[in-house]
Amino acid sequence: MERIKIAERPHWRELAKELGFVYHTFDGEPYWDETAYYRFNLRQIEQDLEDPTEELHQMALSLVPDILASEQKLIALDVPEYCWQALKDSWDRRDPHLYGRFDLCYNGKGPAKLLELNYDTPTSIYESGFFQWIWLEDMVRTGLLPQSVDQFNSLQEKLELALLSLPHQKPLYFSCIDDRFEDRGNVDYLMDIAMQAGVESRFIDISAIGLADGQLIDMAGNPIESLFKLYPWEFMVREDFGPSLLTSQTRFIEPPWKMLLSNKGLLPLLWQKFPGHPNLLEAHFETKEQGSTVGNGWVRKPLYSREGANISLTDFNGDTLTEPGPYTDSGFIRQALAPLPCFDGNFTLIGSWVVGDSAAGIGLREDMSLITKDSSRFLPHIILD
Amino acid sequence: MANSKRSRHVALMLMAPAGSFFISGCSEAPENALVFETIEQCQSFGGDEDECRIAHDEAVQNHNETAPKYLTEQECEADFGDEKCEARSNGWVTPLMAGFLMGSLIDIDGKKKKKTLMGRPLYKSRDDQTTFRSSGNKPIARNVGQTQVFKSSLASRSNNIVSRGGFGMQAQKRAESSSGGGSYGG
Repeated sequence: MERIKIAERPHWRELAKELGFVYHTFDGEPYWDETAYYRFNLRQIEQDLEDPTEELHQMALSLVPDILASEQKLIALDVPEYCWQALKDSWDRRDPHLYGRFDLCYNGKGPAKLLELNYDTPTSIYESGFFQWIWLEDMVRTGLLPQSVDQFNSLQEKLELALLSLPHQKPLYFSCIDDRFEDRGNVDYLMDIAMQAGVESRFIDISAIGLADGQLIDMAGNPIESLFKLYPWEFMVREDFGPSLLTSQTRFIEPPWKMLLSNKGLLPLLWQKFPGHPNLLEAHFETKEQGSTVGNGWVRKPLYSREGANISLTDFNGDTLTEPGPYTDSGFIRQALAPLPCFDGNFTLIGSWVVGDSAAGIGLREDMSLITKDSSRFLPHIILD
Repeated sequence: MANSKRSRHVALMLMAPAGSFFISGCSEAPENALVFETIEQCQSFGGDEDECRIAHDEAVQNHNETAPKYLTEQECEADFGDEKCEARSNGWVTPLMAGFLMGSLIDIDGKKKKKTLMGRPLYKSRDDQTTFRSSGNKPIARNVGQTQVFKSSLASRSNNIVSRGGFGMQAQKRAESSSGGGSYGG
């Protein structure tokens, strides 16, 4: 695994605009960054990333029945009691799931370590599945990279197959908060793939969804029977329409049981069930007595948080780094620190995708700090032995 | 590559305007076509009057056979917009055509001209008045004039009754607008 500098395609910003990539620049700072790429060999991809991703996925799935059978675990994960039964029903029905992303710490050698799971509302799917694919195609076409180059990225192909196979009633509604450009871009891409697969699809702003007689409805009053939502379950179940989970005939993607796997409390539960697993970091639920300070070499994360918010980290020298954020109202977990590898002064995180039950590709993020945030840059990668 | 770890192709339909699809590998090639709202508009783009009329008539014929069918005007208008639907003699309510697609004329040996596509009806949804769509609800173009289409996107549905709503996207604006940054994904 190495970081290699390379010239940007001269017209990539125009291309990005033409292809609907509206969030390629973030507050004036680059988000998509093709001034460098990462090179992996095939063994690193297959043995160190692909196989562990599928194993971690099965480990996470194996926890769902354990959690559903344990009031203590449901309470530890801060799941509101009123929806426990709906989660059980969703799991018993085997409501299908679409996708998820593991964030891994990996430097090219040794086992990748699981930092966290994004199993409910994973983003960066467009830049992972589409834009970095196009980048590689352009690099090969212009002779800057050899024909034999490859990329760990079967996202669009696997998503198309998965969306086509969903047993959901049509139309399939796609929803998020419309004016969040990044979320909308992710949803548009998935909806685009669904429509290419011939799945009847439409968009509805999450706040435009209505409720009548316990049933979620669209703007025209039609029942919403199938809903993809890029909006966190932990928000939904605490909002006014939360109890519709018990009454509405809607089938969701991700399904309600996925609520359990997008929670940082899964990290200590994984460690309890698979202690010492090479791809796991030691993790525990925070107790009341511990207060908010962490020892050297530990990280403190809220149960619910995204984009690095409200994470604090104390390195092996005792220096503490804290990321502010709005996720202060849930419990916390403690996880052993696995510092991200540093390449040319950048700390690099690997997002490893799962579609259905298969590993489907990676996307790399770089940040100037050890905590990866929503502003961290996205870089393309290649496989070349 | 035999053991490639990449998608064999990637493509966009909605996010990129028709004509800038990206497709690679063994997928079908797009064809040149023209989109017009009226016969007059077709002529104003330099189309031959007969050619424009034939394509339009073919589109109307196809419209009569394949337009989405609704039981009530209300249901149809929910998808296509107020006063954008009509009751048909067969009892169904269908949307009005918003335009038609015609195949471009290609020169063969510099003499004969042959159309590559039959005329097809196009529709616009209530939610998305900028995009011309096929009777199968596939986006075809955002502007009149030249475009590229995949023949597969012109296939109509076999269903007799289509009870779909909102033929596309809603530009629902929240009352409390934010700057657009941030994400509820992660």
